[in-house]
Parts: sequence; C-alpha cells; structure tokens
Amino acid sequence: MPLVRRDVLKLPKTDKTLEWYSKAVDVLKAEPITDVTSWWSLGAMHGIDVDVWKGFHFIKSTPTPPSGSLWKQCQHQTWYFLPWHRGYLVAFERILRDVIANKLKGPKDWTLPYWDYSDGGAAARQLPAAFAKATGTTKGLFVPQRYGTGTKGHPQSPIKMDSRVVAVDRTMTQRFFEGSNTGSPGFGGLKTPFSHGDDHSPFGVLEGQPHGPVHVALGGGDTNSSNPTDWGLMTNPDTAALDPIFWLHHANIDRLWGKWLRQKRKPTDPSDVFANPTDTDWLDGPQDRQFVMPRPDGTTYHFTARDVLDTKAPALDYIYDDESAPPPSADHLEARLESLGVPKRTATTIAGAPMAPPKPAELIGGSAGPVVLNKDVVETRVRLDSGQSRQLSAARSVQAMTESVAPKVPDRVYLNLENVRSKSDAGLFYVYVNLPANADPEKHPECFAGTLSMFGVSKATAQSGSGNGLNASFDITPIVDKLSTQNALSDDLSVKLVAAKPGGTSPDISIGHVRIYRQDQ
Amino acid sequence: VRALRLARHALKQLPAPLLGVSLAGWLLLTLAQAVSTVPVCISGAAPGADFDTYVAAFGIAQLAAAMTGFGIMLITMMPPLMSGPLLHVWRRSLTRRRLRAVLLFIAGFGLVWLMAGVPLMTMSIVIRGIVGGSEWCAIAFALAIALLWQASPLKQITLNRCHRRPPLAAFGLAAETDALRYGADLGLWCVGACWATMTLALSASGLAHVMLMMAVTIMSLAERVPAPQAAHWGAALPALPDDLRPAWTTR
Repeated sequence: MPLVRRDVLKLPKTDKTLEWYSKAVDVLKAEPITDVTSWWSLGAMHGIDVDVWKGFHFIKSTPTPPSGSLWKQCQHQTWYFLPWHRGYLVAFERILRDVIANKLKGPKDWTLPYWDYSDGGAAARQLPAAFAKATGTTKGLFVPQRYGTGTKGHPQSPIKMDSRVVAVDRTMTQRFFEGSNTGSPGFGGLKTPFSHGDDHSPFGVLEGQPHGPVHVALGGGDTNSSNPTDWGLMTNPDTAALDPIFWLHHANIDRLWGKWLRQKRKPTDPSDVFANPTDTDWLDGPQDRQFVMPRPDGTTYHFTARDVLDTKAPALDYIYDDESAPPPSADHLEARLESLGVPKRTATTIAGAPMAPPKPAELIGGSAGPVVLNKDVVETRVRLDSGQSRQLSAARSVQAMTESVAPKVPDRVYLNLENVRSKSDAGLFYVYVNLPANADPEKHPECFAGTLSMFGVSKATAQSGSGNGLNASFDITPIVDKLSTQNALSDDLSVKLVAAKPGGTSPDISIGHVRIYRQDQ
Repeated sequence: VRALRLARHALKQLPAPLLGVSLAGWLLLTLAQAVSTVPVCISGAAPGADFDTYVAAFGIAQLAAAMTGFGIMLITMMPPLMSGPLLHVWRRSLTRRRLRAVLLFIAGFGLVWLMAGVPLMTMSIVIRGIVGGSEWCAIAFALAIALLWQASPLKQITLNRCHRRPPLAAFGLAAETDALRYGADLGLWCVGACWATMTLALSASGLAHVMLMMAVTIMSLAERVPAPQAAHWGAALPALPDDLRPAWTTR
C-alpha cells in the first residue's frame, strides 16, 4: 500500500508527524554541506547563491559543488516545473524517512505533510502554528531568516495570506498541460530545455498561481532592497528550500497536479485535456542536462518526467489523503456559455460538441509603453486594435450562438505582462481589469485577473543573464465575458496593479509591455 | 555528440519556412557550382601567395562576388539561429503588421551581418597572408583564434545577449522602429558571438568550406539551447562529462 501524505491542518492533536519532521531537520542541519544528504546540500539543489548564503551565515566559505551537477537544478518557467519538483520531494522525503527510522528510531512510514491553504477560509491561510514560533518539540520548523536577516521583523506573526494569493479555482480550469508563449501558458508550463529560471518564458498557470505568490507572501521582505538577505528565505529561489515550510508548500502544488489530472474529460474532448504531455521531449527530457537526485545512502540517480508520473509506483510509493474523493467537476464550458446568456439546452449542445485544439493566439492590443510599479495602485491603459472589441462582442453574441448552424465556442482572452523586471523578488501585486475608479479592489472580485509575484524575477533581470525579466500571463476570459454581457467592452481597457502590501512598491519594478491576446477555441 | 543532439532538438522546433530557406541555401552551396560561396579573391588565389597578391587581386567585381558569397553563407546558416527572435517579433506584432515587422527585423539583422562580412573576409585574407603554406595552416590558425574566443568570458556575454527578447511596441511608428532596432541589436550581438567561428568557415574553400559551415551551424545552434549564464573563462565551452569534474566522496 502506498504511504499517505496528509493535510497538515487536519493532523490529529496527538499526531507526531511534525515532531519527527522537526527532529529530522535538526539532524540534517548538523551535517556539513559536503554531505549530499545534508539540509544544506538538499537546499542547494534547488538553488544556491554563495554570497547570500554567507550573508545569512549558513556557510562561512565558498563550498565546492558535488559531482554530477547536483546543485542549482530547480525548474521554473518550464514544463519541467511539476515533474522536477515531484522528483525533488520524493528524494527529500526518502532521506528524511531514513533519518527518522534509522537514526531517530522513529516510525518507518513517515510522510511529508502538505499545506492546503486554498480550501478552508482564513484559518487555512495562516502559517501553521508549528512553523510560526520556535517552541517545544517542533522548534526546528521555525527559521528566523524566514523574514530576512531578522533585523526588520515581519508585520504579521503568524503570517496570514490573502485569499487572492492562494486563489486556485481558475488555475484548475486550464484544459491543457502544455502552453504557448502568447495564449494560455498551460497548467504545467511551456516547452523549454532545462530551465533554472534564468530565461524569459512565462510561468505555467499553476506555477504562477498560487505557487509564486505563496512563496513571496511567506517570505515577504523589503521590496525596495536589492539585497536578498532583506527578503526572507521563501522569497528567493536560491534560499527557498532552506525553510521547512517550502516542502509542505510544494507537496500541495504536487497534490494540485494530481487533482487537476483527476478531472474528467468529456467524451468529445481531445485526449490531451486534463492530461500529461505525451511528447517524448517532456517524458524523456531535458536533452541538455539530466535531473539528478541523492539517495539516503549518498549515491545519486537520474530521472525523467516519465519516471515520476505514477506516484503509486514502488520508486515513489505515495498518495494524498484526498485521492478517494470524487473527481472535481470539469464542465466549465457549459457554465461559461450559460453566464453569457446562452439557454441551458443550447449551452449543453455546444459544450458537448467535439472541439479541435485551440488555434495560436493573436495579439489584439497593447499598452503605450513600460509601466513602473512605484505606487500602491498603478494604472495603465491598453488599447485594442481597431475593430477588436466589436469582434470580441460578436464572438460572445447569444444570437450568433443560438442561431448558427455550427456555433463556435467564444475565444479566450489573455492579459500578458511582458519583460517584468525587478531588483527585488519581494514584490506582490494584484492585477485588476476595468476596476471602477476609487473602488475598493477587494469588493470587485469580478475584475480580479490574478496575482503577480516577483519570485525569481531579480535573477531574470540580472545582466549576467539575458536581462529580459519574466513574463506572466493571466486568463481574463471571465472578465471580458462579463464586460460583453454588460455591453461595456470598448477599445480601451484599464489594467490596475495593486500592491499587496501598502508601500510594497519600487521604481525598480517595471513591466516592459502589457498586451492582450485572443485565442480562438 | 551532445552538440548534435541539441542541434537536432533545436531543428525539430524550427518553423517550416525557416527550415526551407536554410535547406535551399545548403542545396545552392552543394549543387550550384556556378556560385562561389567563398570570396573569389580567396578561392581564386593560389595558396601561399603573399598578402600583396591578395590585395592586388581585389577589385569592385571581387568585392561584389565576395559579398554575394557571404550573403549566401548568411542565408544558409542564419535561419535556424534566428528562429527564437523571429518568433518573438511574429508573436508580438498585430496580425496586420506581422510581415512588415519581420521584414524590418531581417533588414536590421542582415545589414549588420553584411557590414561585418567585410572585416571578417579581410581577416581571413590576412590570416592566409600571415600563415602562408597550405590552406590547412590557415584553417588551423583560424581554429586556434576561434577556440580562444569560444573559451573567453566575452563569448558568453555576447551569447547571453543573443537571448534578449525586448519589449516591442504594438502600434504606430514605434512598432516599426522597435522591430528594426531589435534586428540590428541582435545582429551586433550575434556578430560578437560568432565572428571567430565565421572567420574559421571563411578560411577554407571548396568542400572544406561547406563542412566547416555545417559544423559551425550545428555548434551555434547547440550553444543557443541552454539559458544564459554567468560569464567566465570556459563558460561557453561544452560542459565536461561528470567523470572529469572534481569529485567528492559520497558516504
């Protein structure tokens, strides 16, 4: 029987999972970075910046990397994001289980818990108590560097995340795993080579929401500082895995991947809806550098995406505690058509018709120039090309859909923030489209496009790389649908970026261009 | 082997029109005997002739022929390398502006490379003059220069800039100038990254010239697959196999 990973918020009071986790973390921290199973080497596998680690006093001198390209592997802005992190979690969990069973003489079936911050209201969004304070038998789970060097503190204790940071519903409705550069970036990301987060591809949908925003919200830090020791561990990919909460966050992301896959396709859907890629470039990639993980005995092994698809296989041997639940409903199209005013019977007919794969997205509008995020609320206008708003409205016309012999599913619309550049990874912004003037953003969820995090942006901005910054894409189809039903679509859209934390802005944070793409379905 | 695998992978992603243009260039190179792809002043002169002989043999007709040959080299070698930037321009342009934007980008890129052709061909002539002897000596000399450049931090810096994907305006005159400027900028960085290997390809004639062009194209494709990285000596060279790296003992 596979071992079961459980929700940290639902562990019984007498449960010892976190105590064993804390003790094992202490054991691994006592080992030198030269040991490939130490806390430090495991963290460096995600990323390491020697100067930052020295600044946090984790290391005193520059370490020699181990053989086999073990360090600096984390995969971001790529379709390898999910399989690489799954392989990473499995290796980590096995090493901890070995320490707990053999060194600490604890249980032999310890599993990593996950933190489901999206379901369960405000209480679920609060950092679990065991991680928030260094107390009792779980003191190893608290790290003062979670908030930076500790000199500035954190305004919240414990951290409470906003519902917009952990929003996941729209993420789960993405139909395809692999995305494109202009339309949806896909649930799992874009086809890339080995991608250690230093190029310009957009985040995949799950990576962009809630993965990145949760990283930044848990680390926090000084948005104006370009010194990573002012940011907090989780905010920076090169330190994130040194915070014990990292592993619970990524277990949740891994669980969401499985939950997305369990959504039922309609019989008329293409076979790649709610399914993993079958492209051998993904299954057997990357071509340019292999993924490598350590075993508890210190030896290493390579793996590919193909090796981590079945979590019940002996090499992985785990499931999540919610997998017995019925699969979530996936008939999002029918609900969408009904929201546009299409009668239920017609909506059912259109939604039930066979659908071809989406066409390549085309650009339909853009901002006049760069946008600097130096104020708590920054607005930019996006101009649509001549006739495009009329075309968007026509595609959503109930008359066209009910009277046509072969009705078309209305297009989807994407808001792309391109060349997002920042010297700090600590910024977090809520993105709104056509938010009324002087309105309280929280009272207008119908205008909310998503959350933009700066997780990894400073590295993509650095001149040691391409200096492109990162791209982020938001599916604003529901917003455009709503504007269409209200006859409020014009050739000029307002895009507002609202700082998650008042003052959490900087003249060094900018967006090169804001663009709107339309993708025929 | 690794370079071949990466180049194959990159070629698989190549849009059909770019692949078509490049294949047409290779066909022209290998089949059309009438077109001299190596500057005539190089291939026509006897190996070992001194520098003055080369200079004396050079006139307007030779320059035109040399530029035509160099242009064919560019058409053959560049399409696979330009795939990412061209797609960037295509995707970030309004449908009604796409073709114009792409042509402006190619104009900027091509102009810079054609202008670079003059010093590069001159350098290959100078190398022949300096080395003398057989053509293989010139190739060996150009190879040494190329290896030195490939290992230098400057190579990695210019290669990193080849990954630049700048913001491009969607509307108005700015959309045209952005595409043209991006093409010229990329052309400059591309010349920076590839001048030494292009000189190597220019240092040979006949079949050796074609084989060197092919090798340079494969290597240039492969070196553009990995993401940008910090520049240092050896950064742009292929990674060492694991068994040649400094190793730790594992417990």
